Amino acid sequence: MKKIALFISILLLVPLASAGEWRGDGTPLYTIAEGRIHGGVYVGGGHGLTYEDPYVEYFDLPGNIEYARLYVPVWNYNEGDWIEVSINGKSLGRSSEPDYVAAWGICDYALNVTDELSPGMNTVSVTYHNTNGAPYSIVLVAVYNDTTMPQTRFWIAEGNHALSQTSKIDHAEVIFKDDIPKGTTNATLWTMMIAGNEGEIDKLYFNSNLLGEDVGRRKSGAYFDLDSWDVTEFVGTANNSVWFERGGETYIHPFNAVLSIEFMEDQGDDYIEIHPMAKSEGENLPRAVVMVLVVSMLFLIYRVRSKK
Amino acid sequence: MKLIAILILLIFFLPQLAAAELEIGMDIPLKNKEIYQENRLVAGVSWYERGQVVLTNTGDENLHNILVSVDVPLQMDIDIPVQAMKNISADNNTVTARIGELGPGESISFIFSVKPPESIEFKKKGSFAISASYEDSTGTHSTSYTHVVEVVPPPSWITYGTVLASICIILLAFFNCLEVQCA
Repeated sequence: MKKIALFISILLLVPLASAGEWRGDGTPLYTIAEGRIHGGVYVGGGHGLTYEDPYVEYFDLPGNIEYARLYVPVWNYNEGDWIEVSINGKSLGRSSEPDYVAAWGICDYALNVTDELSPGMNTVSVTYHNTNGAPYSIVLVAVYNDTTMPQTRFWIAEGNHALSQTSKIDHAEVIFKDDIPKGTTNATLWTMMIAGNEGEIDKLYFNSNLLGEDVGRRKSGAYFDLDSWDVTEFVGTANNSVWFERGGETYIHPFNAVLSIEFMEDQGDDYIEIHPMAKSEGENLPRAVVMVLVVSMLFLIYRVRSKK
Repeated sequence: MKLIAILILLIFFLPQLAAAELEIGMDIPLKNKEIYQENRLVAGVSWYERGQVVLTNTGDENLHNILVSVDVPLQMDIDIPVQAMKNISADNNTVTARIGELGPGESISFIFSVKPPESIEFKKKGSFAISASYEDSTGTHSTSYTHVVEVVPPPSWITYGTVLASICIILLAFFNCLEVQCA
């Protein structure tokens, strides 16, 4: 009888041992930086979960980078894990605590790398310590100055929000706050999502306009989706927003939303405003997980008692 | 007399022995080898798999104007990711790379991505045919290399069902065994 109890206990503990502990629903996306600049926004990255070590990605950048943020989403974070990012051969040191962590250890390291980049080709490599986990991708968002270009309004939103069936979180919204003059020449939205599945139909909207279905389908690499959308025709005059709808996905994590809107005429001085980082929200077990645990324990007690 | 003949032969062949050579290698998919099998692509995945071609100058003089072409099998779609090396392009089912110069003992690599076929009925093999032409002091040369990969269908419901049935049988056997012991 003891063996049966032991066996069931092991069965119950296997998922916890392999995927770490539940880390909560994560951090809804919020604006970390915004501004106006004569220039543009570069967003690039790749290339999915491959378990390569080092994990390397290349970025071909324009000059005059005014602000740059590097993201390293990682699967299966547990205490004691770390990553070490190097840019063009220079180590930025080890990072142990991820900036955003959610669900069963899907996490994101966000680094300010404005002063580490060079015009032209940049090589970013990540080495890591993580049992059963690895980087999903390396993504770079960089704002560059080019006085020959029109003025552009931009917002960079980051986070790690677990939209999941078990937590009953079905959507996430990011609002890019500000008034926008009528008549913009060009507007681009970039989105980055982790853990989407092909055939599980999620939806993405910009100002209530459907941009795509099944956007999270691992098209940019295993469990990784980085997309850019021409949203020029959908730009509103105030508080533009992007809406991630989980739909049929059992599990999907929006990580980034970046919007750039090119003006026809200058709207004032250039500026970049950096907002304080949000902390990961507290851990909480989803109801379904609690229910499964309770039912399992009741079954175990019943089996033990019925054998006596 | 024999010694003179050997000497003449050596003098005759020395330039050939010292001639530059270009060695070609390939690695696909670019993934951790402890987890993923080398030279195996799974059909039906929604992403592109990366491959890397490595060129090594094993000779003792500079090679110039190296032109490499990779014929991609099974009409797989090709994508060229951003990378350190430039002058790489893809046209139809061929990846082309141009390298200006490669010194003796030096290596250079480039990456490209291919999308495995959406579906295949049975496991099949595909060959990446790589050819390279280059120049050295003795003229223009060419070399080639073929890299064979295996493309396998994704796990089917039959596979999942078999695994599930096996687990059930093991569990049943385990419990029955324990029941006997308990009794």
